[in-house]
Amino acid sequence: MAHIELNALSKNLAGTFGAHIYLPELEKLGNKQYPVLWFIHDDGGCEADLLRFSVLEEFAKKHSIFVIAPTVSHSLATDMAFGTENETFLADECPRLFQFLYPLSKRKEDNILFSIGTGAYGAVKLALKHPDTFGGCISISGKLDIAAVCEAAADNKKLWPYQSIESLKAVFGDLSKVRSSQNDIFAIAKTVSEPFLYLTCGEQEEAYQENLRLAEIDKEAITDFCEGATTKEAIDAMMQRALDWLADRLRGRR
Amino acid sequence: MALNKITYFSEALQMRMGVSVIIPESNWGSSLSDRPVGYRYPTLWLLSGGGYDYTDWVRYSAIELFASKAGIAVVMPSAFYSGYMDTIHGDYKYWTQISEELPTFLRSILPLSETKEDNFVAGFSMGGYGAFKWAMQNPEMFTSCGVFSGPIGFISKEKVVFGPGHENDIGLRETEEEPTPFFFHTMVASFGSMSAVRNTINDNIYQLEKNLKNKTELPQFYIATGVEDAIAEQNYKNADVMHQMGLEFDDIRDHGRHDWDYCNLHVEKFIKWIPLKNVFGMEVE
Repeated sequence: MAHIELNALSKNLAGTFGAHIYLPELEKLGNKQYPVLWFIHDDGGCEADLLRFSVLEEFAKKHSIFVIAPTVSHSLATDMAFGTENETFLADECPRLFQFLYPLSKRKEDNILFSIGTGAYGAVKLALKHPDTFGGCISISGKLDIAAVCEAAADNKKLWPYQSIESLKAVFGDLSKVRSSQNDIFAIAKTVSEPFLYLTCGEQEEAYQENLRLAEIDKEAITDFCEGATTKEAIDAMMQRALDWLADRLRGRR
Repeated sequence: MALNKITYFSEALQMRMGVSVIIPESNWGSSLSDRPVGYRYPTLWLLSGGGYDYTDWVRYSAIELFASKAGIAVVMPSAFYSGYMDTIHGDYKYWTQISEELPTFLRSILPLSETKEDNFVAGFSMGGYGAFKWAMQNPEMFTSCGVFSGPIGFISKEKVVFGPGHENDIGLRETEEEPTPFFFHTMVASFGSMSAVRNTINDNIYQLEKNLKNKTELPQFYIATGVEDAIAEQNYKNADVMHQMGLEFDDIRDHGRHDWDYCNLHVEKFIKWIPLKNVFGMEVE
């Protein structure tokens, strides 16, 4: 499988950023513009986490698409109150930069977000707030309720392992004002309908209730909530079903 | 700077290969998101010395700095011990991979210009031999060719004889039966012997003779070797031969050894020397 490790300059991030990319293999390349699956790594991770997902490598190969994992760092895909403009980077600079660099489609239907766990908050937010850029988002066991995380942090409770009260304040500023703001995806989802959300979660996972709530707000969300214990195998199977569904959609079959 | 470290499955070599490509921004505070889609970069194909891979130019030189100052993309393939050959032993098609597969592949995924006026080739040591070879094989592809400490003409026209007392000398033997020093065995793997490669596409002086005879339009050459280089004498003799054959080129005989310091010095000078056009956001005469 062809792979690129890229380091390039960003204005929004005020310096160099990293990205990992899976692309179609030589014999599949032709004079065309390829769809992109944008991989948003989870909080505490990095862009190299893409290398852990052979299922995404296979997906890129089988369906001739690019999978791009840009760095998100601790920003939660947000224009930080104190720090870098990561939401603008991911939703604006990144698509333009990568479309200049590689033969990528600009159509929103061909630009889909994909994330797992705590990365899914940012991925879903990017989809809901930038429907002209992204056609949809696949969230695997997504941790989505950032307002609850911020309010718990203000109360000295740590819901997400790699965010402290100080780091959350750097991202959002006043933690009591996150709920119902443009950083609260449950609030945004009430006003937006266009990009599709594909939500998967195990019914025994902590994140299940959040996913259920979001699916109640976005009635058109596609859901795959599986029963029973959530094993690694079960998550892998959810991921595979989601990617198969997306492949059909990219081929215009859905 | 935008540095692409690419790995892909090479059809020519039937294995995964790495290649690094610098796509420069102008300076800190700029971003490729500002470039108009469709802009394609002038490109330097920069070949490494024997034994090196796609990471070495980036690691041992300031090539990213020079590239970004000039606004030129740089492609750096892996050559290892191949000698820029489709090797005599093993038929490992490094030459095909570098000279045919990579241009097609990289121009299909990156914004690299395909015109002659925007393409340049250079290399150090064995990569200098390879750069000259590429210029001889595809003169229509390049405007300029740089050779830094490169043994351009190491395949000799005359039969070579390593007599008694010269068993450990560096150099390809006339036949493979003759003993070679151990560290030279990879050269034998790639080239076999003088008699195996003489008067073939791998024989630069033979190809030069053909091109001059056919009045083929050739790139401009920048050829540099330092007097302290262990192969200086051989390179200067070869340069004299090429002058006598009627090739015009910049013949640089300065100070320096066969090392990365020399590469660093001359790759910067070479990039300043080449006639760059179509550089984004820069006024170039």
